Amino acid sequence: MSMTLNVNGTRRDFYGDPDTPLLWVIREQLGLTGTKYGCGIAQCGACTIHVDGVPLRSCSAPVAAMTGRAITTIEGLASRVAKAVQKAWVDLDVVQCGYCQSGQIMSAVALLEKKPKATDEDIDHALAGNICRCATYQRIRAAIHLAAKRLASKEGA
Amino acid sequence: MICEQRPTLSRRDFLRSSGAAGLVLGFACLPACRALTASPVDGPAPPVHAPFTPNAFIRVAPDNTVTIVCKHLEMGQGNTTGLATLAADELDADWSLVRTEYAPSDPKVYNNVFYGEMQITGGSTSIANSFMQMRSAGATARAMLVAAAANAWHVPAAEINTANSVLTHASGRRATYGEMAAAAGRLPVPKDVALKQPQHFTLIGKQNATPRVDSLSKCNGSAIYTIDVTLPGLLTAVIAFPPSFGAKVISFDSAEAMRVPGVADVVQVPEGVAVVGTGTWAVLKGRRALKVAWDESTGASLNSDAVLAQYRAQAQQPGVPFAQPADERLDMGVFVAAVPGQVINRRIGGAAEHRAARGQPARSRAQDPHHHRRTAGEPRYRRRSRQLARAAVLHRQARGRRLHV
Amino acid sequence: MSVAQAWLVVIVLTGVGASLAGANDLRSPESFSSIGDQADRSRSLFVEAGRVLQHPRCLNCHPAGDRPSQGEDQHPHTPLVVRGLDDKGATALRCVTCHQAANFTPSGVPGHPLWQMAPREMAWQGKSLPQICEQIKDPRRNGGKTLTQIHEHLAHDTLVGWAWAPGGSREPAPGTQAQLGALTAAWIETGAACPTR
Repeated sequence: MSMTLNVNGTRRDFYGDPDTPLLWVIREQLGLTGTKYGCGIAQCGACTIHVDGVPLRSCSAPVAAMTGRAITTIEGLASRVAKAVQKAWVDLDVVQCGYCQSGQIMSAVALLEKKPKATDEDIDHALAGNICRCATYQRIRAAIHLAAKRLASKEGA
Repeated sequence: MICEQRPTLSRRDFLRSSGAAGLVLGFACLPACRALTASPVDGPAPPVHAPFTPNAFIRVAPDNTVTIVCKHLEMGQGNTTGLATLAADELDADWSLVRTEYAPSDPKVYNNVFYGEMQITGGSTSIANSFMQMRSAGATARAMLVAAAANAWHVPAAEINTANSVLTHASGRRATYGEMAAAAGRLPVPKDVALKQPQHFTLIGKQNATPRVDSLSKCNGSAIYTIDVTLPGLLTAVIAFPPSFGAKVISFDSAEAMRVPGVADVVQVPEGVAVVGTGTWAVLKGRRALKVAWDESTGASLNSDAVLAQYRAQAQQPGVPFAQPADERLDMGVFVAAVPGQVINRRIGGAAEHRAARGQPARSRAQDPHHHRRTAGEPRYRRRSRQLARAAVLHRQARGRRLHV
Repeated sequence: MSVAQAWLVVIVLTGVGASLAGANDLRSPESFSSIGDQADRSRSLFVEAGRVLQHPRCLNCHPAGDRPSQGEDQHPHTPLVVRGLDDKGATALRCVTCHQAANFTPSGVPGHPLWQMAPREMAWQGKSLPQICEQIKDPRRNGGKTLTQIHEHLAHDTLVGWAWAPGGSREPAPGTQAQLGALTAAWIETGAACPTR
């Protein structure tokens, strides 16, 4: 099967099995390795991307379902919210090994895009599916709050 | 920032040569170097703008960046930043101009000094074993830069100040480390340079003075992990593991697996049966199509209940004294929890193994890269390397440690 | 073969067929015809339908609280997910974040285009079958449905239908959706009586 994908605003061609999980298309055929493989069974969240602005676990979706949809990976984040989230992550030294962080950031960005005033409970529910073996959870939470605060103030990010 | 360059220098290159032509380095030149062309009249131009490399840990480039070579593996614990901090403080480097790079496998130069000639990261020893070593490396580099400035300005070295990668003198003279690097590179390397007194630390022990150097790349998807490495002709392998510990392969039927597009081979390995091919999805599908008959009689008959019963019984036994602080005696049980979710992802390149077998530096990264070089040369691995043909081995829960090539 | 012999073959085959029908089939409405009292028959029909309604495939998305359950043993769904404001998940962790339009073998995640939790008023976990029955009949708690619409829902709704094709190693609900539809129709015809215990 061949199809055209819209990835980070660019048209990319895909040839192969329509049932291929989107994760492997992104990582190996398109060479975008920022999205990670952690479990392949939708349990860890390391593969989280955005499709039409909504988080999707790319290990759990066939590439064939992506016709006409806009895919955004960690490499393609460019919105004001995304920049604020990434800056807060850096400013608070959130990362340790970093393997989960692409997914964490994708979920955090999606949360703040829809809920600029996310509460602790909102963060709990939105990021519950992104697990971190290094246990950077406290700093993730702090960084989301920091990004939200900066976005809300006049100075923005 | 993690350096993506692939240094090709040998150990000898780190040793200083004090020939009249100046230091010739085996580095791939920085862009500034490449801009120079050899003079057709005088022969090849001396590398006047070559980086200043006083030791195996520090390079100062003409553009004033300082590259600090970290001999330990970063697993998230932050030792890259820590090791760089140690050297940068003594060097009086501008932290924003510090770059980091990971050392190649060379246990003679990059050993963990607590463990003899082993280049290993573990036991929470990275900073402790490197503390004096990295500080000394930085202090030595600083002393040479100061000496070069003293020569250039005809002033006593003691009158020269350093801060944020800049040398200054009361007379108004000023130079960046980058500007003084070439001259420093022509000086002999001093031994036993005095280190700072702790009260003069500017980075060590200072909250927020040295943000993690690897944050940004881990936030924007550019950080490269083992699992992300691609090489021409790289194959991927996944292993069908036995359903219980110690079970053995009786037989396997690879016919259906071999029919999956992209699967190149199915081969038995000590751990189970490996499916090798192009791309992870192909080999995952191939493994699904693989039929393996297991002999579980040889395996440990462990299950969760049995293990818990074992733990409960052991918890009733007296423990082994682990450490004895002044007043207390700490007893620890003899069992240690395994660490789930850890990396078991190795890039085993056939080429790397062949190089290792011939005694040349290999490029695998691990907590003990030299171990990989030794074992890579063993006969069973050489045979397997031919079979796997530069396969990358993925554990079922492959995650990948940071790769530094 | 004589006609009598042919009938014998048919009867024997039917009998064999009946005994071959596993415990996982649903009984047909006709098999309740021996119950003389209509209300009793109605209740018994619903008890049979209850084998589907109270199967994990259905119960898992009809919890009482905010979290769906998962698996044959109905453990809390992992990862931790909640119904959110619209029963379709929390902000940034929607049901469709993982559950796609169809079961996806590579990840083992079940799917359907309308994947979501049943509204809170349709909670079945922790309820007895009589309580579930009353709930299904109550327009205030069944989404304003008439009995005919209830039948339509159980007999033809494709999300309900997922229960019989759950994919992976998930055990399907007993019988088939058509069989459930037949039982529901018969239950309604006999007065839609609810079991008493």
